[in-house]
Amino acid sequence: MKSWRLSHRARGAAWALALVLGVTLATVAGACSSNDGGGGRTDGVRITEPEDAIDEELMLALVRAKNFHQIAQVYMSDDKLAEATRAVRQILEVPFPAGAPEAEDVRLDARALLAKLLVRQGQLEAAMTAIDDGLAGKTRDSFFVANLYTVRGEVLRAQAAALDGSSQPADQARAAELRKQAILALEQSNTIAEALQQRLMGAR
Amino acid sequence: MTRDDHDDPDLRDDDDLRLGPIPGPDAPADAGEKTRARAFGDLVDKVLAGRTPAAVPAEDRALLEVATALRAAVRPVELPAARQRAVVEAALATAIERRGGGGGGPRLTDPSIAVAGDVVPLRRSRARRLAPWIVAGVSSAVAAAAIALLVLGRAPQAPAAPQAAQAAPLPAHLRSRPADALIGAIPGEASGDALGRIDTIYSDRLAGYRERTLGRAPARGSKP
Repeated sequence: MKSWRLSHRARGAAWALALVLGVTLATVAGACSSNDGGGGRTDGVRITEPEDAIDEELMLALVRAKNFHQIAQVYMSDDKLAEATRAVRQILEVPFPAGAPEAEDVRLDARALLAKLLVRQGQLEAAMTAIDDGLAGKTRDSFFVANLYTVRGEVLRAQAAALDGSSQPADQARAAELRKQAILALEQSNTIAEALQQRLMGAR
Repeated sequence: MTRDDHDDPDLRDDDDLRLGPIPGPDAPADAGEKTRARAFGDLVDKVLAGRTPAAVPAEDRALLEVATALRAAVRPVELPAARQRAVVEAALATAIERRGGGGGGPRLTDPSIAVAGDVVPLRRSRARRLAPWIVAGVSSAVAAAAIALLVLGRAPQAPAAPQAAQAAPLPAHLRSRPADALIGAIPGEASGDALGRIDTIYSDRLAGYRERTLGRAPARGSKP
């Protein structure tokens, strides 16, 4: 009787083993067929998301830049311009995904705000440097470039105004020259904006 | 039966056996009683030897049955080993013929032998016992072969780089792109409103990111 029971247990174990192996086989077969891609025509071709898809890295960069802008806004509302300037400079250090067009737009806009803050603090040369650095690094025309030219015109006007009080003829000539450059910068801003607007309207 | 019983006129004669008057227990046996006893002993010996007489007196039959029962109770009958083996083999062979069909060939056994329970032919029984192990073994071999194929089939493919990365088409609003179309021309009086512009850019890109990753767009006008 005991041997009969053992025999039945052994047979049960054998059936269980067969079942497990069957399931394993089915799984392996499924894996093989899925690797095959349903016909093997996708061998050597990798389907990927485009590199310019909006991803976590871009969103993280944008939210960090936004937060620095908000910090700067708080400082500006308290008339703490130096602290606001520091916060805006930190926007320029935020890493963006390589080749993301938003990076250039955000940094140009930060430079425009930075220049305006520096003008308010009387740091006209530093303001012009911030603008020139931005324009030197641009890769395309945009409304942000146009805005930077607008701010450049403001800086040039501020520089000219600083020379207005001088009685030196050279200073007066320099102020006149700066005002011309300001007009050119503002005209450049308009030119860029108009061309861009035309391009966008044509695209629609 | 007691001595008093012998004095009872109703019990003095045995009507069934007709043996005459019953002698007392201590009375010596007479010649007639000895003759009857010897004849009954011979009869019992013949029955036990398997040579039962065709006709047995009615008065002896009852005693014979009692004697047979007593002997069977004292010493059970055992068949000789050869006879036992022959009987068992005959029963098994009959069962196999009945369960296995036996075909139309000559029958080896007596079909009148009754067989109890499920009796399986030895060859089929062995096959049933081995079936699970055979299935398990074959499954193991096939599974091992499949795994080997999978491993060996992947090996040569591993070094081969994809020939070309085929980008899935993605709508423009789900991609990183210039913000000009979103922001539009920036008037001079708003040149310093960078916070408002980055708010707009962030909200737009967040909507695209949600749609791309979660498969749904946020409700219009919702705040990020």
